[in-house]
Amino acid sequence: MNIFKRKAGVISTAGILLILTGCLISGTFVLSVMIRDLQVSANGENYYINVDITEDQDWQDHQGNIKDIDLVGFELWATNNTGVANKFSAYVADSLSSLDSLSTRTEIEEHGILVLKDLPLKATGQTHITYGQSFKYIASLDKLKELAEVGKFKMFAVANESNINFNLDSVLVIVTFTAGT
Amino acid sequence: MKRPVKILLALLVFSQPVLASGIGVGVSVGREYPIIQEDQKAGQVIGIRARLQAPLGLSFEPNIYFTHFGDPDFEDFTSDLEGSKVTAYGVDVLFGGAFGAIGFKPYYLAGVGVYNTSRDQSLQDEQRIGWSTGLGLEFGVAKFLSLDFRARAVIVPTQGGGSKKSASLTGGMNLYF
Repeated sequence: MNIFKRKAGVISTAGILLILTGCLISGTFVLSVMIRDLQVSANGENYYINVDITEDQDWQDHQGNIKDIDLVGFELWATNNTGVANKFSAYVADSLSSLDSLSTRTEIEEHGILVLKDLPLKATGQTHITYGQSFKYIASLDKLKELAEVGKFKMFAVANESNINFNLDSVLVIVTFTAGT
Repeated sequence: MKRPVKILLALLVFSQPVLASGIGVGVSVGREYPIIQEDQKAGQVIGIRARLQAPLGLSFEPNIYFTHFGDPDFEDFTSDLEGSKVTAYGVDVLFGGAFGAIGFKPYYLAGVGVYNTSRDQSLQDEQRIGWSTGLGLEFGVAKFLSLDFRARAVIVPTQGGGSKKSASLTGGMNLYF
């Protein structure tokens, strides 16, 4: 019985060590990239955002060993310059897409992928969408995860009504990923 | 009847053939610590278990654990992200423990379970098979009652080949019939 007890102890301790050893080479990480200098498109119809998370240190540390993109979320600040409440949406395209800062609203709506839908713009002043709130506006999480795994993508913010003048002040892109060997 | 309760009852029924001489029930509470999971903080865990005695000092423990991880903090930004909730139901095999004996009795455990991880805020809801192992110390205060303290490590493989790991420290009591 004592031999059996010792064996069980060794096996159990080995199991714990195996898990703890695994911890040293895998984990879940959260990175954030703040984008402040947002470009208004040449035609003034939308905001063009070049998202690049590949410069982030966490990303570089684990690039090549990423197993899962767990979550993609945003924190946004936008200012409505009109007295009329409105909404805006965000579209994405991969970094090789022909969409760019010269693209029109119609081109973006046709060739981009809607990822954030109907974000509110209050009548005057700045609207702040928190990280936690951003999830309820996400329209295509799978596409966002797919683009986040590549690390670079284009994003466009367009007011739902074309006559609405708004500033997209800044965007924080937050990516949670699991990496391990 | 709620699904976890049904599963626990099913585990109890199917575990009947291994019963040798005793049966018990127990409850425990404690803290669960995420291991290298930046999107979680330590949170509360509550466990409910049955215990079925088998030969050779073994016992089987069908159990349900409810974990609510704490909300994470990040250095770079202010987050309002909530911690995940995990409901795990499974069976641990224990070697050792009091099981009606008086005094301090250590035990080792290893088990398998179904881990349902959800976060309402971000619409995450995933069910995966996970593994556990740990060490415990049971203090039998009477033939029918013991205090139970355990450290338990859990690993839940994810779809892409990674894994989520955590460790819990709990204290509770067992009643034997």
